[in-house]
Amino acid sequence: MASGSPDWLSRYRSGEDGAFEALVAQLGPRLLGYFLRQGAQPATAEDLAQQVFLRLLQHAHRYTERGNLDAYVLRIARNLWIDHQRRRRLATGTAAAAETADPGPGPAEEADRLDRGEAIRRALGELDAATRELLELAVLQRLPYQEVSGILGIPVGTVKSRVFYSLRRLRERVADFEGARSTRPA
Amino acid sequence: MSPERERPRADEPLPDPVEQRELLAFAEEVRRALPNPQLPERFLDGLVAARAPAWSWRSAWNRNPVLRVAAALLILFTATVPVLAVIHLVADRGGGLPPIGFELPPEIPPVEREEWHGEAVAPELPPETELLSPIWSIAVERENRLTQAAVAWHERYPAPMPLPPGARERLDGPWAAARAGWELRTGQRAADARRAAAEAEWSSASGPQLWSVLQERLAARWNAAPQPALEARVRELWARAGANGEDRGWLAGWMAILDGANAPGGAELPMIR
Repeated sequence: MASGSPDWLSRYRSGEDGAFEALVAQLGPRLLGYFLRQGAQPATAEDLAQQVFLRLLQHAHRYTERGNLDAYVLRIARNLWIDHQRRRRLATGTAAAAETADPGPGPAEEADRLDRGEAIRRALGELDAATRELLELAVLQRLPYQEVSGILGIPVGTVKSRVFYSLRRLRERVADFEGARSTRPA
Repeated sequence: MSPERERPRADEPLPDPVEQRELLAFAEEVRRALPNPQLPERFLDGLVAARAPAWSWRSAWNRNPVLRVAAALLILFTATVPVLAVIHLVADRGGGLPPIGFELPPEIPPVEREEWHGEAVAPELPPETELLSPIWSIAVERENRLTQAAVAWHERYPAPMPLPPGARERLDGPWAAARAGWELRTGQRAADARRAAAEAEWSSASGPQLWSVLQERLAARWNAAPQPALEARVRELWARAGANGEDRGWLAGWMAILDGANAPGGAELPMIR
């Protein structure tokens, strides 16, 4: 799950033309997907993604080329998301899940019209936040286990075992959705 | 089962290799099912706008050389004044303290006071004037003598002196004119020489009355030459009084005004009787 992305931040720091646009094109969709899958509304996700870039450029001098840019950016994104959740809790006094989009009808009722992809998305949304974040970093963002370990503050071996365990859980949920669809009478 | 209960333990064993491969394949499927969204068009523009730095002294200082030059000049001029003041103080220390003293004022020229010595200067009339009007010349001489006499009169009686007790009764009768002169000198009687001259009937005036008229004119500083009727009455009484007559004493003043040095007894004006 290594990224291997070109280091556009270093190129931007050295004044290369178009490096900033390339940096945004490379990391922008990933950041947007990260925040949306964490449960942010589209406008909030865009705003948070822009804040990630601003903070990245503001502290660009701290970044070293030996580091993993993807992990560095996603660490900033995770901190921003946690701060956003904390501010929302203080403002509303409710749980952080309030911003999460309405899941709609339950899996059994909607299973008939779900295809495989929709079943995966629905199953992922029903996982707890910690598991969802683990899969986001290790699976969807393709960060190495070492980087995920550093971000989440857990041992590498634990990361690896949790990733497989979470994938297994997710696959079972997807199978549940598909089983419910196939057993429901037409 | 709640999500918290679904969390694996730290020592959760890894699945077997076959299941691992299946799970890795499922991970690829998950990635395909959850692709990253496309960035909206406005995303980059909003980011560029947010990156535009707000104006600050530091950024302006780094970007604008004119600002740097202006600041340098300001600092230079601001610092030059106290530095030059200190240099000036240090440089002047060897010169010692300036002497402190007083300078005498320049000599003030004496003020020329115009003093009047009581002597009227007789007008020097050009010959042609005499040819033109001897009567005018005589009138001027008489006016000049009246002016001189008025000044002498006021110098002699400068302060008002009230009439002593009982003096008023003693000055009644033939001494009434003397009493009038006294009251004029002491300010107890206002001089109204012009009104008296206009209303007088000189042909019947007596010597004391003429003396009183002269006193009033001198007190009022009225130097108009006497009218011809007054002059005629003065000369008439003077001729009738005789050389040593008592009445000549009342008229000697008028004769001095009229004839000057040619008057009997000269130009000396008798003031007090």
